[in-house]
Amino acid sequence: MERYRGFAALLFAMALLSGCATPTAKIHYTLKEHADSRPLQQVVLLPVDVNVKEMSAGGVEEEVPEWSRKAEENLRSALLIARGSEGGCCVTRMVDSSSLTPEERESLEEHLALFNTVAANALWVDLPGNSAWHFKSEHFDYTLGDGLSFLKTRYGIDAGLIILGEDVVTTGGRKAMAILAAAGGLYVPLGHSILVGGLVDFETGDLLWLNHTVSTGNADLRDPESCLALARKLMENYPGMRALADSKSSAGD
Amino acid sequence: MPWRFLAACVLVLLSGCQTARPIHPLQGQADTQQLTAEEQRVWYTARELDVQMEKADYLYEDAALQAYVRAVMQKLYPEYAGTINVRVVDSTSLNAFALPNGSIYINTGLLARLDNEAQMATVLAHEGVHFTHKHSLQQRRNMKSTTAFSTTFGMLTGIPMLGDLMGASSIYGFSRDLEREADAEGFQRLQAAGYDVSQAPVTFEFLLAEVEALDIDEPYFFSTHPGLQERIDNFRALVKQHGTAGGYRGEEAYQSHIGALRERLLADYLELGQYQSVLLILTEKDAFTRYPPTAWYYLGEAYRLRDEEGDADLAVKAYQTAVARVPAFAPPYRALGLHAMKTGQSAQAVSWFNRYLELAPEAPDRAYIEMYRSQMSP
Amino acid sequence: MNRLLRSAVILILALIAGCATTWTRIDDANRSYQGEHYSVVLPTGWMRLESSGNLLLSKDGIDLQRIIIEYHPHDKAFEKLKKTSSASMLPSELAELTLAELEASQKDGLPSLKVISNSPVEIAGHTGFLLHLTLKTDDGLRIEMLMQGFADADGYYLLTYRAPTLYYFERDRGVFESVSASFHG
Repeated sequence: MERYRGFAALLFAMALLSGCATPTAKIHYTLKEHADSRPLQQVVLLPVDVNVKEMSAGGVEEEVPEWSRKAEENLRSALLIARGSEGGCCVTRMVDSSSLTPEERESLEEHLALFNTVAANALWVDLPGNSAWHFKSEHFDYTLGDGLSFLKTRYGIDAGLIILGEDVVTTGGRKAMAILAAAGGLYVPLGHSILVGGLVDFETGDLLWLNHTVSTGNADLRDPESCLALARKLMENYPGMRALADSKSSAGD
Repeated sequence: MPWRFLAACVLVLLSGCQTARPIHPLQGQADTQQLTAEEQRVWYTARELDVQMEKADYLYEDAALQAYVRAVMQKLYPEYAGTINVRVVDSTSLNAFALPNGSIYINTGLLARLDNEAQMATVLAHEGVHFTHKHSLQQRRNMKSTTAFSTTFGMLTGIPMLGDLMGASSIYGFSRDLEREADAEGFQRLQAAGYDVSQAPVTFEFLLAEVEALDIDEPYFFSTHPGLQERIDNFRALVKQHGTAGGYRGEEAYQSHIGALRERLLADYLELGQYQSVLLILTEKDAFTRYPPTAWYYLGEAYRLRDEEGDADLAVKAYQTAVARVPAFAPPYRALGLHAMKTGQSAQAVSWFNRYLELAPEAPDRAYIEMYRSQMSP
Repeated sequence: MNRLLRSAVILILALIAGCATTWTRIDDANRSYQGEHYSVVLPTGWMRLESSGNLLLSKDGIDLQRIIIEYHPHDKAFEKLKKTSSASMLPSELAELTLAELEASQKDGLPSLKVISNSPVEIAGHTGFLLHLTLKTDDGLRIEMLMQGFADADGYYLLTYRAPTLYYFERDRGVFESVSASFHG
C-alpha cells in the first residue's frame, strides 16, 4: 500500500545526508532508564506492509504486487520467532484481524496511519539541520495514545510490532544508463531498500522501540536471505529479545 | 552533451524496443479475467487509488445520484456491469477520469454544469473507452523507456495521485490519437444506447465557453483549449457523418436527479471563494429554468464577494428577489441584515436578523448573528 | 512522510524562504515573544521556528501538532483568493475568507474538510472568529484544526492549531488556548 511514499523519500534523504551511517534504534526513555520496567508477554506482528517497485529506465517507479507479496512473506518469516527461554518479549504470532469487530478494525487502521505520522516525525527530528530537535531522540517519548488499549484488555495482547518497507528494484536498462551516465560524470539514482519497525505498547500507546534501515546497495526483499539480513539489521536493539542471529525461525502459537 | 550519455540514451531506447504483446481492446467482461502481468500491475495501482478515495472521504455520498449515474453507465456498457464502476467525486472542478481497472470518477462540479442526461452520457461513454481500449496501458508502453526524467508515475499510467486528481488523464493527457479513439468509440456507444448524439459537441462547447469565461489557468479535464476544441471538432464531424435522427436527451430525468446538487454546488463554489463561477452560471440565459429560485440568494452572495462597484446594490436586489420568491428560505434575510448593518441601518438589520433566526433557529452562525444583533440593539 | 507533512514542509520552506532561521527550544528565558506586529507567550518545552514575523511551534513534530501564528498586511491577507482584509470586516466575513483560502491552498481543494463549528470569539481585545475544522489525510487519519483570526488597523492575524484527532488534538489543545489567550496584536 502506498501509505507512506513520502516517508520513504524522507528516509532515503536521511541516508544520503548521513553518509549512510548506521542509524541508531530509538528506545523509549522508560526502557533506557530501567530496561525491565515494561515486561511484555504477548507481542503480535501487525500486517506487514511492503511495497516493492520496479524503477524503469525513465526513473518511474511502479509497484509490482506479486513482488510486494513475496517481500511481505519473507519479512514475516524473518520476524516470527518462538518465545525466548528467558520469557523475554518477542514476536509470538500474527494479528488475526478477522477476530476484531468492524469498529476495532477501523480503529486499528487509523492507529496504523497515526504510526506512520508519528514515526515520520520521530525520524525527521534526526535530520541534519534539526539539531535543536535531537533531544527528542535522547528522551524518546513518542506515543500513539491509548486508543489501542482494547487490544490489551479484550485480547490480552501487550504490544504490536509494525513493519513497513519499500524496495525499489531497478531494471537492467536503468542500471546500464547509470553506468554510462557515471562515465559521463552524471548521477542517475538507482534503487534502495528501506525498512521501518516500531514496537507499540497497546496499553499506553507508547512507542517502545523505533528503528529503520536503508540500503542503497544490493539488498532485495524478494530474496529470503537478503531480506533476513536486512531484517536482522532492523531488529538490532529490539527490546527484550535475543539477537535475531541467534534464533532459528519457527512459527509461534 | 557527452557522447557517452548519448550512447546511454541510445542504449535505453534500444532496450525499450522489446517485443511486447500487442494491446487489444477488451471484448467483454470475460477478458477482464485474463489480465497480463503488465495489466495486473496497473489494475493493482488503480485499486489502491480506489481505496484511498474512499478512505480520504473524496466521494459524494448520495445513493440516489450514484444509482442514477451508474444506471446511465449500464446503458452504455451493459456487458461490463460489475466491472465498470462509476463513482461521484465531491469536487467543484470540471473533471472526470477513468482508471485502468474500470473505475470511473466524475465530479459533482461537472455533473452540475451539464444540461441533460445525453451530455453526461457523452462524458461517461468517452471515459469508458479509455478503459475498454486500455489506453492507460498503451500510454504506459509508449512512455516507459523514455529518457525524459520528468516523467512521473501519473504521466506513465494516467493514474493520478490523491491530492492531485487534476492530473488525471488531462494534464498529461492521453495522446491525441487515443482521445480521438475515445470520441469515436464513445459516440457509437451513445448511439447504440439511444441517446441524442447532437448533444455530444454541445457538451464540450458548453465547457469551452465556461473555461474561456473563467479564464482558468490550471489545466484540468477537458479544460485545455486545444483539447476541448478538438473534442468539439471531432464530435461535430461524427454527428455530420452519422446523423442525429432523434435520440433521448433526458432533460427532465437529469434535472430531477441533479437539481439539488446544482444548488449545493453554488454553495460549494462560494465556500471556496469561486464567486466567478456562480456569476457565470446564474447570469446565463435561462439559468433560473435549471436552478431553483433559492439561487437568487447565491447570486447575491457572488456579487457581494466580487465586491466591485455597483455589486452591493446588485447583491441586495438578488437577496430581495430570493425573499420574494422563497419567503421561507432563511439565508437571504441574514444577508440583507448584514448589508443593512454595514450601511448603518440598524433597525432594519435587527428586523432582518430576527426573521433569519425565526426561520433558522439552529443556524450554525447563530452566535454571530446574535452578537451583531445585540451590538445594534439600543 | 505523508502528503500533509509534505505540504507542511512546503509551507515551512515558503515561510523561511530567504531567511537563515533555525528551530530553537522555548524555555523560561525566551518564552515571551515580542514581534513587530504582535506579542505572545510561548509554551516552554516546545520548539519554535520564526520567519518574517510568523511563528511555527511544535512539541513533537509539525505533523503531530503545530501552532502557527501569522500576521498579514491587509493587502496580502488572502493571496490565493486575491482578496484583501480590512479592519472593518465582520468576523464572520473573515472566517468565510479564511476557510476559502485554506481550501484554495490545495490542488484538489479539501474534499474531506468539514466545519465542526464557526463562532465569534474575543482575541486580544478584538472580536474575531474561531473555526473548528476536521479533515482526513489520504490514509484515513483524522485531523482537527482550530483557526482563530481577527483584523485591526494594522492587518490580519491568524492563529492555527492542527493535530491528529487521535490523542494529540485534545492533549495539546490547552496549550493553543493559552497561547491564544496571551496574544496581543
